[in-house]
Amino acid sequence: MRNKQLLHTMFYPKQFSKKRHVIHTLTGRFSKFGYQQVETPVFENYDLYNDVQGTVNTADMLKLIDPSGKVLVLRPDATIPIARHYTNLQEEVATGRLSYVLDIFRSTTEERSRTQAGVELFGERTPEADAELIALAVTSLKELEIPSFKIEIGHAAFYKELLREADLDAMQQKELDQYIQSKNISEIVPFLKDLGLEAALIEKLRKIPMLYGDASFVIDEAENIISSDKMREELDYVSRVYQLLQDYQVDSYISINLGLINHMNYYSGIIFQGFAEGLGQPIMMGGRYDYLTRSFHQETPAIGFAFEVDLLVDLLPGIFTEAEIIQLRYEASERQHAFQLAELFREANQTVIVKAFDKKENRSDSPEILVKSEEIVYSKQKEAAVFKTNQELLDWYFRKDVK
Amino acid sequence: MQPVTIALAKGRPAKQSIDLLEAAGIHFEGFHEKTRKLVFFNKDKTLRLIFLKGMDVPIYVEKGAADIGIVGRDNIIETEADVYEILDLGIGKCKFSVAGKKGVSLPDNQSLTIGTKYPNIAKKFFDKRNQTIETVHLNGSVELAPLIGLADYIVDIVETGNTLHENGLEVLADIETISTKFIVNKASFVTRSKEIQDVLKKLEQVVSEKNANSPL
Repeated sequence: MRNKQLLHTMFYPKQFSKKRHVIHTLTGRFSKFGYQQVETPVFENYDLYNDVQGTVNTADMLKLIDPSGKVLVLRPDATIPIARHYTNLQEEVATGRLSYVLDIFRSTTEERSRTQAGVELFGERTPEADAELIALAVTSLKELEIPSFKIEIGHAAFYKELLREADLDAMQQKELDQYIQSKNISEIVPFLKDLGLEAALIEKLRKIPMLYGDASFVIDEAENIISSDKMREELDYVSRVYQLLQDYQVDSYISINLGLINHMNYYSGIIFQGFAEGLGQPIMMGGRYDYLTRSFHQETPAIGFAFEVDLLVDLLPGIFTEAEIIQLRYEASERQHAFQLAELFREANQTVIVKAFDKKENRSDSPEILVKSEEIVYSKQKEAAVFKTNQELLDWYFRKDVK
Repeated sequence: MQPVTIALAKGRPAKQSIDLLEAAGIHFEGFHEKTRKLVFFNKDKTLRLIFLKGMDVPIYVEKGAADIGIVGRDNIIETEADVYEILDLGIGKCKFSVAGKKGVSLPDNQSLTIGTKYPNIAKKFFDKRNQTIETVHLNGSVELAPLIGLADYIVDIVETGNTLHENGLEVLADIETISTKFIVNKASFVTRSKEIQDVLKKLEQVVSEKNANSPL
């Protein structure tokens, strides 16, 4: 059904200034929480992903062959390469906090490439670490002024634990995941009955998709389907993370969803995703993956999330007002003077385009400065002013801004 | 506050869906059966009803242009929309079937040409049988395809079987049953939880009463 375009979306200047703003805001937030930015290679060995089971579907990766015949892939994920390098990075990054802004390539998305901005926190397996990440995600979205959003929190192992009793094969499990993900309650029961499961277990499984909404309600309801100590532990964990989020004062942005399933099955604990009003896809996804690093020598607990930058760009309200651009013109004799003046403006963070004066040129709405041999003339639409020296003009211009 | 938007498949199934909404106490101003208007509001303008082509309903809901959709499951499966399929409304019941000319059997050891409005569903069914097919994507009068020789068999929705019968065709295999579903955009379900739950609860009530009165 869906047509795949071959190219990344082209960002025109107005759109791109939004994207720059999103990335700037997110990286600023990440760094204020102590996350240090890294970059992973664009080209990676196909074998890296082929060997780490249950991560990226090998069919979804964009592959290429280098001149020696080795198969490479375009970076299909950020978490896996960062987790792999973390063992080497450990000494440099004692806090275990890393962030990134990277293009991710997969053949499953329409554009085949998308920009993700995210963080990873290594070495801590505590509700405090989980809550820190979720709070970081919420405050980032607030700072971006995304109009209406919610973060859903679930637990990757809660439903899997219940499934253990059912003993399904991979195909059956995939089908059940699909029903639970789409909250397709009317079809879960006949499907499970066909598989010959016990009535009591069916009753528990069909409740999973509705374990959804306010924390107090969900946690109470979930009590009823707990059938092992492991499930109790997991539920307690979710509830401790939620209490921490209350102290962060971000709980109004949180929903609990114990029917949440992430298709990246390296997740082992808390999982979460963010939704914004008017968009069916998650704008953010993340979770705890304590065992992924096991594939790379040393096991380290870890948790991370990623924002979909391109979706956030679409959600940003209104049009961005661009910084004012000064058109600086000069008479032939004043060229050096004009270049100097332009540089003074730029040092003060002002955008300037310099050109030789041309009488025929159309007047625009943007401010113009004409450098003549005896004076400097500033004009903007009907407003005009004349100055003797650079300093007089600069003082006046920046005071005017303040007013 | 923006109204919650409900997308409805227009045409024949719309009548039953509207009846169900009415029974749940949800009324849209100025709606009557013969109207050609496509947008309606309830009295306090908290709900907006829009009429779309069936196949477009899941797309509108997935993309967030509508918060809620009321649409046949055939359209949901075919578009592969990523939405919550929360409630089976128990109306518009029919099934997907493979049909062919009377007296012809459905072979399982050769590649077939299938005429259908639903190539994805056809492909999935034959994939499960490990059979390769070529689909001819049609937009209507699918029953004609085997008669004219455009396709060997068809995959289509069968309600009573009358249309098939009149055109000299018969059902050879059933794929699955379908009915009308209440679907919700995944973001709206969280961000507009209260309004959506309100509509959902009212409909659930009506559906369960109906089921209680007419046990199958």
